Amino acid sequence: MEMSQGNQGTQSELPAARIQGVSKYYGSVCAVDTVNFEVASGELLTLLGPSGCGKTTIMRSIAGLEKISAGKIWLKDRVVSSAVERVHVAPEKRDVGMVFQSYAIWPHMTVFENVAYPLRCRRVEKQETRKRVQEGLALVEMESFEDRPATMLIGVQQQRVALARSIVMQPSVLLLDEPLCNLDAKLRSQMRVHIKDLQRKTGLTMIYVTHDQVEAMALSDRIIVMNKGKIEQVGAPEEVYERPRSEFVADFVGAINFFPGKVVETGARDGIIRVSTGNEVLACLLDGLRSPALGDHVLLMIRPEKLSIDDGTGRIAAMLHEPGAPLNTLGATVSSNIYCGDHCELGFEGRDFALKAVAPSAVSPMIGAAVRLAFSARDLHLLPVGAGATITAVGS
Amino acid sequence: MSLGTGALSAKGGLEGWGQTVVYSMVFIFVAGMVLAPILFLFVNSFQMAPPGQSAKWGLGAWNVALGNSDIWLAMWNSIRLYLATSVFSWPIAIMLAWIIGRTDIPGKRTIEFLLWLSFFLPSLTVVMGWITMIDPTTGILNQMLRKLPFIGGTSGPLNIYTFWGLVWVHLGQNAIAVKTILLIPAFRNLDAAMEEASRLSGAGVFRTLRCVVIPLMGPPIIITALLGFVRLWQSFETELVLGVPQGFYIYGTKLYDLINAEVPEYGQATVLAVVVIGMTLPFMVLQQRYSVNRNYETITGRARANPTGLGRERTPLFICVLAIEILVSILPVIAVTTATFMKVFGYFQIENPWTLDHWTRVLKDPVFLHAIRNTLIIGGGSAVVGVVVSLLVAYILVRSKFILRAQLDVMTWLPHALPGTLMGLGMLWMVLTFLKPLYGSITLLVIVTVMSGITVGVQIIKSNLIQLGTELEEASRLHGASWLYTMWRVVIPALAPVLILIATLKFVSASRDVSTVILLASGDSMTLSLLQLDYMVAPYWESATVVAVVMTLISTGVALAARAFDIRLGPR
Repeated sequence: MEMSQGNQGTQSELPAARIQGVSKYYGSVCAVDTVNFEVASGELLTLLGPSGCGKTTIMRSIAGLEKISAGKIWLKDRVVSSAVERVHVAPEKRDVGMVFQSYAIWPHMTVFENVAYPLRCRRVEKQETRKRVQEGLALVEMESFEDRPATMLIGVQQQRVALARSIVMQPSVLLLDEPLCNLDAKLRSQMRVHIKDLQRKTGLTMIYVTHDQVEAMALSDRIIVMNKGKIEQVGAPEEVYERPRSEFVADFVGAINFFPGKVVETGARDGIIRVSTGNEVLACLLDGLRSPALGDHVLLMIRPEKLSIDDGTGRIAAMLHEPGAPLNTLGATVSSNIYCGDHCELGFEGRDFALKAVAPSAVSPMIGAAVRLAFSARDLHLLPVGAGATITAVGS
Repeated sequence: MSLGTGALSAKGGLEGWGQTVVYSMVFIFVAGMVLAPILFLFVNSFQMAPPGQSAKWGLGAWNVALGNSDIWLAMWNSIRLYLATSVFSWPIAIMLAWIIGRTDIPGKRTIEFLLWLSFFLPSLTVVMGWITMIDPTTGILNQMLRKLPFIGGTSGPLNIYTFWGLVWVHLGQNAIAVKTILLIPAFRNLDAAMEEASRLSGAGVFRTLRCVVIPLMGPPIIITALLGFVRLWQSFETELVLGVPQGFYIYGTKLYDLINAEVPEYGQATVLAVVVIGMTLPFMVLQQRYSVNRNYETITGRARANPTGLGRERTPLFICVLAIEILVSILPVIAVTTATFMKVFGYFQIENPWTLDHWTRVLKDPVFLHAIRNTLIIGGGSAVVGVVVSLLVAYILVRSKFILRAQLDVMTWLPHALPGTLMGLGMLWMVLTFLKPLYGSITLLVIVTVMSGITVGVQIIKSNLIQLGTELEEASRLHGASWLYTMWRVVIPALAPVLILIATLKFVSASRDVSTVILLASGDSMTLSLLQLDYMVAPYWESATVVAVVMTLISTGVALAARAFDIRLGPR
């Protein structure tokens, strides 16, 4: 399994958390299926996936809120969960912080009391507690709310208090369970910046759970994409986006066009192969991971923003041209055009398939107009058609 | 508010004349059955002739009653009995509710089932069970204890006919069970993240319970406490059996004593009633406020049912809980059942102590057969009428714009605070004054048992109606259904499980009621619980135990049937 390094982590340092062969069953239902990964110290790792994919279960297992059915979990050098050895360290003894989706701010306490709670549980002396609570609240810009009853806070303030509460004890790992999903779009983007900032300032190791790919892209050092209890792909955000390794990842992370094809020419120079989609033949630059054989059925993928409308002047072609990566062009008709303010979403129908693309709103072709679409061979990716691929290949 | 079409309904629109008429009829019925008896009590506290005779007005009764120190002592006894019971029942109830609602204790279903069983046990059965065990001379437990070398003697060491004996029996009756049952949903609905956040902050299971869970449960605990507090005057039959022989009177038994005297002291009894109504009203208002301004903040839709792991304490706690439950609900039933088969109760040493005579004698007794019939009629009637009235009242309170609905709300709270004997006395005045043919009839007993328990039914349906939302009904109306048709096809089916629950509660409480019916029943409308009391006083102790077992079978049988039916109807 490929493992890219976190920003701050170095190879020699002990990982902050190690998850090895972890499975979780609820009765006969498998929520998490033999998951392996490590979290480098100081890294912000995101578990990304649709609801029910097992990401929250993994996080809760790390926190000790769920008992795992198989596998082992380390925090630093300590085994905290092990199914075989029947080890299950109680949540309060794990030194793990967590921000809950519902924030879980105790309504019968003030902001100060909420944040001081973990310190009081650790018998930190009064003076020190006060100092650290104030520092914690300052980090989340809530220092003036100390004496406010928790019920008098609005959502985003509760969120900040929950953050402060989970970092005052300087946990070895901070877990965040979809912390932004109850906020509106604008606050969410503010809080994203805030959390990223906080991580830089504190150097805390964070595991972040979300189903929002934009959030995952913006925050993470690394992303783990999960589906049906299994890890689909691990990698840096741009890696996951640009080089998805399964149909699921490609589809879940951002918008994408899929269409089937059949390899008609291999072995050309520089890793270029040619794929027939029936009436068209497209050039595809291999990313080095796969080398399909002649005659293989494959699934082709291209992101909407990588498609350009060729206005026939050759300008676009010149812009896209790069050495070693030929340009593909296709004839198509505009089938839909949805205006979205700063851009428009276009639908096209070609001879073999339908495509969606995004373009600046200034480029706004009429529905029914015949255009040519251009894209670099570097941006066209392929997956072998195997189990899980739902698209039937053409020409069969 | 102007008078026009649908004069009493402000919204107009969906509410027509028909509904306003129905609403008004419900209002008049409730007012007649709740307010009128109270008014009769108040007015008659100033009149010195017994009910049914020509009136003689004056403050005589007030002077005598307020100067009667026995009355004040009885009231003080009620209060201290209540306080002593609360000291023990609250911590146990909170622990039980937490254990059942929030932890991974094994055998949760069994524990909860036993709790319900103890809730449905007739209180006189429990009383008799404990008498068979700790009567100072004949009690089985006492006999066994006396065999121990260092105790000996001919009576004791335990005695049920004492203050603490009463406290003990109350704990075994409903003091713990009701509180626990009322608290479990609140504990269950608590967002698990509240506890988990505390655990991850470094607090253990019990620190989390103390610092987070119990404080968060503050509002439901206060509501439950107020609910119990306004009912402190309700206690009756337990003290009638266990307190009166030792000269220990509480409010309810004193009231009964005054009326049941050779020369009935109606005047003083009525004054005693009015005083308690006055004392209870402020608490009733407080409780109503609290229940209405309920804080739902800790109850989120996303709450997970993730139980707290008890770890090593799991098994010891389970055994402990089970032991408490068996002690309070199973043991008395076993004791009383054993007693029905004994020739002379408490004498195991005689040759061949067992017999079926008591059963054959009682089951052949025409009075018993008549009482069983009456009890089933009253229970069934009360269940049916109770559900209809509760549903209508709750519907008016939640859905309608009926202008007198605030008053209706207050009226349905009143019976909750009124002791049964007092309801009975008020009703007695009213019936003797202008409804004489009703006196001693089963119809009267059905009405009075319906009204005395109306509060719980209305409150339960109310909260369910609020949760149900109005869209279902509005959709039905917009598709052309009338109000009545909507009720029949949409509202009632949607509430079916709740209505069954209420019918069960009404059946059980009406069929075992003593305090409300004791002043109103005649020989002809004698119920099983009254027959049981008669047998105990007579004293045909063994016959009384047979009746106790029969009543227990009826109560628990109905409860079990309802439970099975409820489950078949699926989740709410």
